[in-house]
Amino acid sequence: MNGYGGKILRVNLSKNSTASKPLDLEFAKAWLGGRGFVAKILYDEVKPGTEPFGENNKVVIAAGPLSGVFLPAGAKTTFASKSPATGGYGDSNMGGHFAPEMKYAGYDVIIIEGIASKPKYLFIEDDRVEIRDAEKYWRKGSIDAEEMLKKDLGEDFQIAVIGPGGENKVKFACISHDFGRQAGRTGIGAVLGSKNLKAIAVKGTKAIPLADRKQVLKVGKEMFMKCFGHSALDEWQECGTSGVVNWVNEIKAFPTRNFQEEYSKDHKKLCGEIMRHLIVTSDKACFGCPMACGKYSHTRKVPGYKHDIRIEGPEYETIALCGANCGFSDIRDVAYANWLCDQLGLDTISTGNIIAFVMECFEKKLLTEKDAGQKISFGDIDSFEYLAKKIASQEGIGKILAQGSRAAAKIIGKNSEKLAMQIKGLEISGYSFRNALAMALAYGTCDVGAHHNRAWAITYDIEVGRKKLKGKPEKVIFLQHARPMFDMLGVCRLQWVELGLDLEYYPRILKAVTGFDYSLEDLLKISEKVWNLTRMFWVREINDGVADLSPRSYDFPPERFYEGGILNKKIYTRLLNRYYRLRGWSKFGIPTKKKLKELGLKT
Amino acid sequence: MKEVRSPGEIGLLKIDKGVEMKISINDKFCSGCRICELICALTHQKENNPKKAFIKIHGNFPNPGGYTIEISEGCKGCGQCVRFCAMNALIEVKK
Repeated sequence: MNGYGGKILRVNLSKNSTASKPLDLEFAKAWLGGRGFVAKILYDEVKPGTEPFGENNKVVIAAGPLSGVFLPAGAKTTFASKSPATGGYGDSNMGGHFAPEMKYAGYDVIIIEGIASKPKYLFIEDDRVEIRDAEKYWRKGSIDAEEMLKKDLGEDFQIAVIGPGGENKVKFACISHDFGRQAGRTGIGAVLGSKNLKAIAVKGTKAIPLADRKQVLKVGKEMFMKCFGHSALDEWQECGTSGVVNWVNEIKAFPTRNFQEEYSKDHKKLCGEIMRHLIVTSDKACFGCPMACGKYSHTRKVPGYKHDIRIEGPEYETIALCGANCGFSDIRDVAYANWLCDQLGLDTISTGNIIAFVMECFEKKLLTEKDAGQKISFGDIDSFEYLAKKIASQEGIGKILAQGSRAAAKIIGKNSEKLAMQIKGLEISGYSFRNALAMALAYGTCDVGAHHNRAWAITYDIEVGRKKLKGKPEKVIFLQHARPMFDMLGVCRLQWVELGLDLEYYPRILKAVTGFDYSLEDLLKISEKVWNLTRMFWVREINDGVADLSPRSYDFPPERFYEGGILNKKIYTRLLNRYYRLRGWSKFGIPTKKKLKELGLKT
Repeated sequence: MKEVRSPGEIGLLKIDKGVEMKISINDKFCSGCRICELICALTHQKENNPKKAFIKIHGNFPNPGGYTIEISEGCKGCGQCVRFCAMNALIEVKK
């Protein structure tokens, strides 16, 4: 099938079996790929009430029709599972080279089912698929395990791997790839850990068939030339995402000391420019990407600094959450915190949030040395290291923290819930929204919990004015369709967001690659369909599990976010009501029958 | 075809037969995006399959990091890889 690897691979770890079947053309047309595929398969195959760590939960992995094809950054792989962090729909995507390699091996989707009796890894080399023993890689850090696997199998293999955090079912454990790319959010690494699956290694030598090769070359070239000609390309190549630190700080959205403040006076010690100067050794790009926003760094042992590590990053989110939010003022400390999280297999956004939460609990005397086993304080990298290791091994206080900040605050009590920066059980990304109403709505309604990537609406708050309400729900909805559209296509969105690559290019290149004749409007409609389906996943879970809790009450951000800002419950409710109306959802945030019918959804 | 280079320094690729261009290679600038592999295969094999390219990128991770670029015998010196290299790891040398 043009544009696709052509097969779905199903792996049952309980039965130690693998089977592949051809990808159905109608299925591909209806759900496109990536996020569309994983959401549909998860909705159909993971029944309500399924235990996230139980045998019946699944991990679905998908590439998109534009992954591995000639255009800028066709690099995205999406992972989905019922999230142990939130109990609802969870997906997370990563760049790198995994999705292209899956397709070169002939697979668009990999479905992981069951639980292996012993540590295993999945080996895929074109049509050869094996569930192999992973005893020697188990308990190894993500970076170390990937290095060992590449040494054993060959550098050509692309590897997705979990660390000790995933093995020990930390609810915010991530999946790592290519020495620094992560599918970090919603704890899918822990689901792989619960299945005893350490890694997936894939290598493919096949071609992706194209509907119109000449047209792919023509449109692809246009897209590349457009990127090359953009004035922001140099800055992105120079600093990557760390380049936005100063801007976010300037607009007072930079999480500092567990979101107590939104401005770090140390931002110049944490920004991309200083990072480039002090620790970056080379640039690291995802497949086919001219921006190369990945930065590879090396901190050296010098008098007064003790860690010698090599790490991809830190990225902006890590600098925000594992940096200023934990009170750090040295980019090398952030790099070390990043390295610890990567080795341990922990999501840096959630981990930075939870450790900052503990730091504030200490500051407010809600936790003591006796509770934690040692003194914990803001700005102390040894505190970070101590807690990260405790979390990954689920020892001592780590056992509580490994449940995520919502559950941990409940156990700690003493009103500490107010300090836990999370929505729906997922810790918030690196943008404070007390003074950014569109961003508040984007976080509150995001379909995996408080994550920025579905609708990075804060730029719109700045553009039209923070206090303005008009137009913001509309903008958030547009972004919630446009940005996940890229995750369906298996391509990075940054070329559109940052280099102004017009959205109209994507239906054009999609047609050249697959032959599908979709307009941009059609693609956004499919994205809306997926958004409604993931919403129905939540509705189904809540109706089954917590009957008295309406989805709407899940959507409110915690009180902490209101303190001292322009956001308050009244304004938020107004935004939310309008958002629900515009979406064609009930006042409780449930998609109406009419809406589902319009989208062609049978639920 | 001869390759004259030492690791970490700018190397010069000389194509003797059917010369169209000389390519200077600087691994240090390579970001490992592999677009050179893809455009090479698309151009010469008419296939969207980087494994069939005359150019190959090797990663050197986690230690020391960075990439090594290798150009094989089949290279025609057409320069498509140079055209799409965003990092100037491949540069055309003027004759």
